[in-house]
Amino acid sequence: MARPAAAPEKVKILLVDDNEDNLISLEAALEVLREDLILARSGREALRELLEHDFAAILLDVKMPEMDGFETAELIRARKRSEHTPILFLTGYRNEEHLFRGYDLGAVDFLFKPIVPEVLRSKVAVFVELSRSAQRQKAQAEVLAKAEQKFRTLLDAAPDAMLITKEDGEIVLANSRTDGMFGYSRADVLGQNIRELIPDWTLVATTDARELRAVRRDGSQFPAEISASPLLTEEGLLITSAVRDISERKRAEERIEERNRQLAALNLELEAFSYSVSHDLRAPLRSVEGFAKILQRDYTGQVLDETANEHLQRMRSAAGRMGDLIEDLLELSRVSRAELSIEAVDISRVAADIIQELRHRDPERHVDVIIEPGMTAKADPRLISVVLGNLLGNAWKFTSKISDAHIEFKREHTDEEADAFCICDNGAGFDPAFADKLFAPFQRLHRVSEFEGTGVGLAIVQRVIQRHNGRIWARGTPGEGATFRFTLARESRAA
Amino acid sequence: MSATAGQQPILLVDDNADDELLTLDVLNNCGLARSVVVVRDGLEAIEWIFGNGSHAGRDTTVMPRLVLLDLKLPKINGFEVLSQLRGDGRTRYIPTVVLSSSTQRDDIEKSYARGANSYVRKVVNFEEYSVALRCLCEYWLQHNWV
Repeated sequence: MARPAAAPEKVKILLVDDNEDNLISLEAALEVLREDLILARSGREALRELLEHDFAAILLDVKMPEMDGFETAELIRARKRSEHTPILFLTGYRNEEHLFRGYDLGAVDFLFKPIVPEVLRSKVAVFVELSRSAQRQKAQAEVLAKAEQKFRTLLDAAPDAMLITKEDGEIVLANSRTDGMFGYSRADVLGQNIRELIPDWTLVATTDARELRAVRRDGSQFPAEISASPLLTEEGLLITSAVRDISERKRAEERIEERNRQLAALNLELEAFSYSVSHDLRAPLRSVEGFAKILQRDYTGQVLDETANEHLQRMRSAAGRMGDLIEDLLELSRVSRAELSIEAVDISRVAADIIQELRHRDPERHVDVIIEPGMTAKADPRLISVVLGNLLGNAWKFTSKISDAHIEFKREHTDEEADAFCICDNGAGFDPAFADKLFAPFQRLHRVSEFEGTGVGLAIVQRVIQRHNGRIWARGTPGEGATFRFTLARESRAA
Repeated sequence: MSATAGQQPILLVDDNADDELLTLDVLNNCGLARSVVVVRDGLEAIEWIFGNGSHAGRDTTVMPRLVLLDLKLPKINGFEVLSQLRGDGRTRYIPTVVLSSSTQRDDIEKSYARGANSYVRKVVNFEEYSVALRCLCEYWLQHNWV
């Protein structure tokens, strides 16, 4: 029911009598019903009212001038709008012929004058109630029709084929997507068993989608994802199965798998390559370096003069540089491929260890190093130590030509989501025009004779930072020092 | 040190002739007068140690005092040699030092997993290599008890 029955809409009752007194007494008798009473003083007037209103009942005097009650009733019945409106004839005497004619015209009852108000009221009340329940039914039917319309619209708008079936799989309803997906017209599919379309369909009420094989009308198959939801109705259990064609997704998944296989193969190849680089490329360098050294050791001063000795020295340092280069390239390839194992790292501690190692290697140098205590980050400990080793190593290296060397490592708050770690020194610095070249492999802004290095270190650093979803950037002024700042992604930041 | 320690040679397993010469140079110059047996692949190493194949008839009561083992070897690689040494009661405790140019984590871990006593990198810098190898030989030949 659309509305609560507490305040039902009033219904209309038409009272037709040429006698004003009769009308008044009818009105008086029916007033207590509290419905709308509309009065007409002639058949013609009654017909006019009938054009405008729908009535729950018509009380019609038989004996009226011009157009009597029967003629009026005939015209009332002739109209579509009022063909079923109950008519009660009011008549002064009992006349069999009248009764026949009246009932023939569709009268529902006769009331004989003088009217007994209680009888009149109870009879009219019955028709009022009838009318009211008819109205309710109509309203309900409308609501239902609207709901069904909505449901069908929804069903058709769904991106999936929707099949509503009985428990045994018989299809009772299908949406328009079904046609396109299965090649059946909607009408064809009704009454069929859903297993014709989805052979392995089972009555499992789960909204978790299952992957099943679906069969089109022409017999071709496609992978489908099916989720089913049960609905208990008066007609029994109905199951709505949403069927999604996942061919495209499957193909994409296969493509991704294929790519992954290719990548894995490439990776394997790359690993084999770097293994062989690491092993075989260095062996000849060892020979060059080693035998040059043995020559220097065993023959200097005898067969070798100072110039020869110097040449050997150059050969050895060239071999050494190439060894370092291979080392760094391997490291670059390693940090690019190594699996990250993220954990909380005491960054300050790692930095302190690196500085200690640098001091140990260069005991004659006096460098003022300040490391902010308590800096932590979520990062791969080995890789982050590679980053700090390179950056602090650079700061150490590029301050080697000044007397009051100063290196600072601290954390800075930034506008960005993550804090920046900042390493600055007062060393050789660099020309800001080349700041963007700094991180490219083999890019060096200083001559090897000034500061040794392979030019791969910062490329390694950048690769590691990128793998941590962070960012690195640098500022520098020639002769005044360099500052490197880097962030690690929010998720790799310590809580 | 056992009574026969003086006769026990160092077994050097390396297929690279240059590396062999460089290693021998270090061994000859570190004052540890001792014979060095050189084999050039993994199979020969196994055959020499156990006195079979091309080394059938070798007196296997004399086992090497120290094995210097390259990883990348023809026929049988260094890992396999290690496994066989460690799998035999006669050779289980012979100090074995891996000499390799590889810095791959995997190689280092696999070596130790198969029972290597040390892992020494064959670095390009000969001076550095000499120091490392000399220290190692001193340790395994003079200070360590097997």
